[in-house]
Amino acid sequence: MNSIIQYQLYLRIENDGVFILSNKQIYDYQFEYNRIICDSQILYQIKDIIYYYMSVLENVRYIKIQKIGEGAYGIIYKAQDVQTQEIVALKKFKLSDYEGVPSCALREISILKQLNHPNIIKLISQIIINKKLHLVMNYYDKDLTEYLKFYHEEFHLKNIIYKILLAVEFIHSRKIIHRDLQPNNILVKNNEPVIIDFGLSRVFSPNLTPGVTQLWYRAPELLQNCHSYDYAIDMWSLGCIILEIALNKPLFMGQSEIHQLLLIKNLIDGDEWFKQNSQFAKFNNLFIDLINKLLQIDPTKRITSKQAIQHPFFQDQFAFIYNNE
Amino acid sequence: MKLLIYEDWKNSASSRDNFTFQQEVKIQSECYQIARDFEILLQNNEHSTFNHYFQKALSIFHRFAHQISFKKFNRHIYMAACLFLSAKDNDMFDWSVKRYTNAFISYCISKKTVDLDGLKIENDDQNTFKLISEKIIDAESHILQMIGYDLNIVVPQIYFQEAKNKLIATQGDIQQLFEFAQKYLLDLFLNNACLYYEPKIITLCAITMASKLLKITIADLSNGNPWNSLFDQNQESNIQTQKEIQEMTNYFDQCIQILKS
Repeated sequence: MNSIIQYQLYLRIENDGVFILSNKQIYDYQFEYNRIICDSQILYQIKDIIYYYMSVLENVRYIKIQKIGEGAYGIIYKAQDVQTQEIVALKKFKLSDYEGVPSCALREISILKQLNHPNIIKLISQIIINKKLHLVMNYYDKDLTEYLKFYHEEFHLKNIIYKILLAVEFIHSRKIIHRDLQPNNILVKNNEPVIIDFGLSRVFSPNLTPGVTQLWYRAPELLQNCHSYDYAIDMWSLGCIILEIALNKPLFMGQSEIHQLLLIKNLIDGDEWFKQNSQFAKFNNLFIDLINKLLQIDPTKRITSKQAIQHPFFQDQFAFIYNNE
Repeated sequence: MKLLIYEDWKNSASSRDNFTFQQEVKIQSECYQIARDFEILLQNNEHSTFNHYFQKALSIFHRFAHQISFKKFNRHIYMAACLFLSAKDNDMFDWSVKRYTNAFISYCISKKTVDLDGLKIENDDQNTFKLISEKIIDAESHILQMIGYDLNIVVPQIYFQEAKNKLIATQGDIQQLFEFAQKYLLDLFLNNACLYYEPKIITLCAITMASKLLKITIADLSNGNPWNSLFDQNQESNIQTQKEIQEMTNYFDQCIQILKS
């Protein structure tokens, strides 16, 4: 008994092999059990999406719409939940045939499962499609870098800084170090930030690898190859990010570890380093005090996330980032 | 907070599959020994985080084995996969599947009695390597699904580090006590008590056992409370702690008696 089902697929094939729904091209094809009947000459190219749609028929929930990011870990897609019509982000991990599930995926899943906070990305589920692990997460269309290109409302910037600190305080209270805080790992929607990418995160342990955090946001102790660091590395990254929000450009743009360390030491020299640099003159004193406490070279002198959220800059509702004149 | 309530802890998949308590204890102990034998080959014990790694691997194994009957999985492959998973989760380890596969094959060749679904592992050739590494990767995937991808496991070693910094002896060598307690701390994973007792209780139990064995008395804390209230908020919780230390010690002794019989 042959059960032949005829479908029309709307698809566009991009150069990198990602298949995206579109109404530009239409291919007719049929399924006969698992055999594909298709007259198209590009059968070879479209077979993956046909198999994908066959799995949709078997209750797979997500359809990829477009690729929105790519990194060493894998690819992120914007996708749609076929059951709820909700737009989600699908993070697909590259799986090695010989090493199984990547360690960054393992850490990200196990840590995100512990972190239920409005300013931390929500892991909806993890699924395996075609033997590849996908994390299903809430979708946001802008990261902090993109956001800062268009929005400079001081009230919202202060709110974003405060909410990021609240999220980091929550992470640290669970004995977790994020280890990769940077503007690209903070997404923003409706002026509310969420922290993402926990692939490098670790539960605090006395011995950890120093090769973490994007170079521009890396704490001095990591640049000096220290193995026994703690939550203070995240606070350094936050100091860099908060100042980047205020300056609208990255603070230290090193090209190597040594260069980064030199840039840091050239700027932060002595207790009142911020007074020696004209670009900080426009900032409110309370804001400067917060930054100074975050950007301490000595990690033991750096403010903790708990202390940061109690800083007078946030307690005083009239304290803004910039001086008023 | 306890991972499982008492009724759930006692209701393992193997017990539902008609294994007696004695049989389960013996198989769990055998699995623990498999892990130790693998570690002799892997030589991870030089790492500063070895105890964290080993305790996490055994915790993962017990969490998995609680849900799947011992009849339904190969304990050698799954123990290798648990060690591999724990190594992956550890910053300081070389976690290539190659190392774990090679250790597994060496183990099988040395033991001669181990088979994989009826297939004897006697040669260290490329086909065997491919087969074993695939089995370990498949087992890893199965374990992750069964434990809900949750590797955020607090192991007793974290509490033990804290205890080592805070406890002193009124009489006797406290360092010697810590050495013995460290051994007990690993041995307490030879059954699945970690599914019921919290990591702090396991830590205190190991220190209590070492203290009794060596007849070393541990001093009260600086606030005048007994040393075993180290992780407690108040007197009420300490009463519960003392009760659970006693309970767990009895459980461990009961398992040892079964293994001797």
